[in-house]
Amino acid sequence: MIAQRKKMVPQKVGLQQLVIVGVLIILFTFFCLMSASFRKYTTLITMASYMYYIMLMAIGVTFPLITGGVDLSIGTGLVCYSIVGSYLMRQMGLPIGVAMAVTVGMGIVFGFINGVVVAKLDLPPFITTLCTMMIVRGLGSILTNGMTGVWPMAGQEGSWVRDLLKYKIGDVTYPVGMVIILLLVLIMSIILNHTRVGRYIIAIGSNKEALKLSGVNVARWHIMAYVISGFFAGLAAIAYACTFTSITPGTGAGLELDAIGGAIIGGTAMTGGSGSIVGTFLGVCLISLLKTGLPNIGLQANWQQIITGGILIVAVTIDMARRKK
Amino acid sequence: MNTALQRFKNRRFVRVIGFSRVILIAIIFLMYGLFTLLTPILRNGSTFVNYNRVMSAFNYAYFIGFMGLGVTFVIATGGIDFSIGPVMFCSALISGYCLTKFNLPLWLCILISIGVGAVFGTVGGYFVAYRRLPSFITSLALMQAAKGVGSIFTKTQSVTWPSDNPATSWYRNLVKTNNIPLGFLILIVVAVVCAIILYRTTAGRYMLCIGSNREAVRLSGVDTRRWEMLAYILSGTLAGLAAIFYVGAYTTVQPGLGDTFNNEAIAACVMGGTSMAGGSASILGTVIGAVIVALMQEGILAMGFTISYQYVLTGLIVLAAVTADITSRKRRN
Repeated sequence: MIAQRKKMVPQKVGLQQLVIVGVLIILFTFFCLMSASFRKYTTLITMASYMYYIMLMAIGVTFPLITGGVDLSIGTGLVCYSIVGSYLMRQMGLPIGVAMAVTVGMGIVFGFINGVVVAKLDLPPFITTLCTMMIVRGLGSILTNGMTGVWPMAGQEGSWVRDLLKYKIGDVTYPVGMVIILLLVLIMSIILNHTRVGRYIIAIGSNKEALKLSGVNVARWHIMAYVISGFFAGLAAIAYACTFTSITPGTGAGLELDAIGGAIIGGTAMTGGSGSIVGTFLGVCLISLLKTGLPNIGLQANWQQIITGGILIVAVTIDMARRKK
Repeated sequence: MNTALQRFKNRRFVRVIGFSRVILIAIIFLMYGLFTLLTPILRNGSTFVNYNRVMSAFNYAYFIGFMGLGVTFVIATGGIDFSIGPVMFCSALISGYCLTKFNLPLWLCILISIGVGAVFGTVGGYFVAYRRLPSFITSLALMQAAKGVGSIFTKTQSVTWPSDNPATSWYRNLVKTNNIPLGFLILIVVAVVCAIILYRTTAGRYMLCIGSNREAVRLSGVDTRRWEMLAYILSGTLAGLAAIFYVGAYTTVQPGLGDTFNNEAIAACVMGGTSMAGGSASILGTVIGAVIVALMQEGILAMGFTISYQYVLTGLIVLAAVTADITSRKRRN
């Protein structure tokens, strides 16, 4: 009985996830010991607010990754969606609720387009989403005449959105966004593992033909994976807007790599068919920790891109090695 | 009607360069006509037909063309290389920094530029061919790395290549000498070399075979890894060469940029008839595709639109080209 239960724990969490937790603790301790500026509470808060949008993108992109695809459009996408959202608020005077709905809605629309092209026209996912990445990159500036997007600052009308992520009582800021993230991780975990959508999405990644032959409408669930990714890119757009307030059109390329890297470190297979949301959560934590910690121990800020690239290569190499076993 | 089309298809020159390439050349003339017609309407008083415009379109076609030629090899093996744009910028930054800050001779800096590209190509090729990583994710990682290396090397400053000193600015003559577009000749020469490599050498044959049936090539005793890696090395090297033509036309490079260009280079390839599925590639098509991309960019700017329209159009063109390729493949099967 006890032996069985012992076996159960690593199975549910996964060995790789346990390793990540270990690495997280070691790295965190290391950074705390090495750098006085890292030990501060404000550093933690900053780390959390830089983590939200990556985390949201990563939760979403886990689904296309599990189908054996990828979504590269989320990085430039989130910039485009949040710029359009701010345009609706600033130039057209719409309430922030509408702007947020449009922001998320645009994500869903582009996710749907990606899904249809991949599932119905059979185009390779990476080339499809590369094209939508280009399209949304241009579209953001075209729709708003190239203006910088500005979301409400603290104290302005509509700044309650910021309180969803960072709540200030007196002089102390609380990273309440973490609660939302954890809730979403829980919900998406349940959707992935215990609902039909999730089961079918996993099945598409592991054996699409078998699923098709068993009479399932594969295209529908395949599209669903990209819609989920787009929806989360829309949510990430709001989180990004809350963190950075002003957003330059045409930027955002490369943000998706942090999210994809996080998902792959977390144990989502590049080849599709397996993955976990908890793993993605831990993977993004690891990336954020490195990205905040390394500059604090003296690494220049422009090493960030190399860190992203390096983590990605290491994660995929580990994934490939594990699959060979 | 059908027979007339058939007769046209059977003409010798059409058979040699391929029917779809003839259509692409027709598209170039159509685009040219369209821009000539629309520019005065959209922007009062300005014209599209202009020697400087053509030269400026050529300038854009060179570096896109070199990158496109390189990535054609990679796509022929069934892979993809997203890193070429930032690699080109990284090459231009590092060699330009050597030229302006360390005062190295220009010929050495050109070699450094090509060398930096080759190094990135080798690293990418190693991970894809020997470690079996998916090419798109490897090249995305390299893309970030190239951006980072470029900005670290130059301490996040832009580099301006010298343009007035005769001793250190003869590289500009490679692009244009006495108003003769020498760059175009060089592009054609490099394209011919690429065509010979791809169609007439063992290396090129193996690359195409890897793209159409890797297992068969491997089982026939060929070390597929070596030839696959070579495709990425060629891609990186040509990106390094493209850097010289980029600075030859625009002199200034900024760190952290360049990722829009790889999409345009890939667009040139897929438009030219190189299949994303691997196994078939067209060097001539890539060159024509690069000219189309360059002409489109020139036309969009001449008509008074912003560069954002170029991004959207490039995306749509790649989608259309890949869809057309996949549909025609399905029909043949």
